[in-house]
Amino acid sequence: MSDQPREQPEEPGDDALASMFAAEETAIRDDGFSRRVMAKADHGIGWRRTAIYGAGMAGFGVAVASIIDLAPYLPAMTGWFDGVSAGLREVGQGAIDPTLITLAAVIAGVSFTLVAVFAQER
Amino acid sequence: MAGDREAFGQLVARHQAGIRALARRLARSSSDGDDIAQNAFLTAWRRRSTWRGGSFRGWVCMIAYREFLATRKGVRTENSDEDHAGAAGESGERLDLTRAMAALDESERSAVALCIGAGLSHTEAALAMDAPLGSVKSWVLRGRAKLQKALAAYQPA
Repeated sequence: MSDQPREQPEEPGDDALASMFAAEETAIRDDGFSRRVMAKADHGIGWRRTAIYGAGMAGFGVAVASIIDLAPYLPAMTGWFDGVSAGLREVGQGAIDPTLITLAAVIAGVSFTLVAVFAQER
Repeated sequence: MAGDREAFGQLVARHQAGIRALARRLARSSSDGDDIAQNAFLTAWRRRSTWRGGSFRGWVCMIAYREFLATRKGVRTENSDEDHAGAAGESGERLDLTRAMAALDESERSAVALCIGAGLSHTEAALAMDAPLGSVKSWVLRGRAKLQKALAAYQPA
């Protein structure tokens, strides 16, 4: 993040007035203002991150809990997903592959969390 | 992330006086103005990824103006002029400038504060105020004329 040179107004302001405004601005001391702003910025990040990561983990939990219920209704897919969807349908029929369930739940949870973090950074 | 924070902290330190001055002129109150400036910087921090380069000061000035509008919708302070004009340590010239600004119409005051005070171009001010460019130019001209008349004693001979 870098600062750019200040843009010039289309019409230069009256010199005397501009000087008076500049003097008023110069008289304003920082007196902890910047520190307070950055402290609030940090606090805001912590609060939002906690909420977002919490939502991410909640999504993870929902994904784990729902995947077995949804498995019998998953459509047949082709290509790389075919093996996954077939495996998940088997889960619903009692042929549980714990590795597959764990993998699918982790992917769902991590994806949700990443989307949430990305949205927060916007 | 840590680098962003450090860079942003430096920008806040560099521009705090300008943004606070603008917000105080808009709000006609030092305390309300500082609250608006603080909220403007926090909004800028949250939305830093939307900054498309150019003048950081100009970008935060626009945010501060919108914060001012949002604040004004909630609370209208009746004693704000005295709060700002009566700040301890202000010189007679600055007090008169504050009073002269307070006597302007709100549109004129905002346009003058943004263009002459904060150094935004007329186009940037029109964007911030969501107003036609011609209106902004007119407000600046009228406001400047009124200020020059009110502050004639301080004008160079």
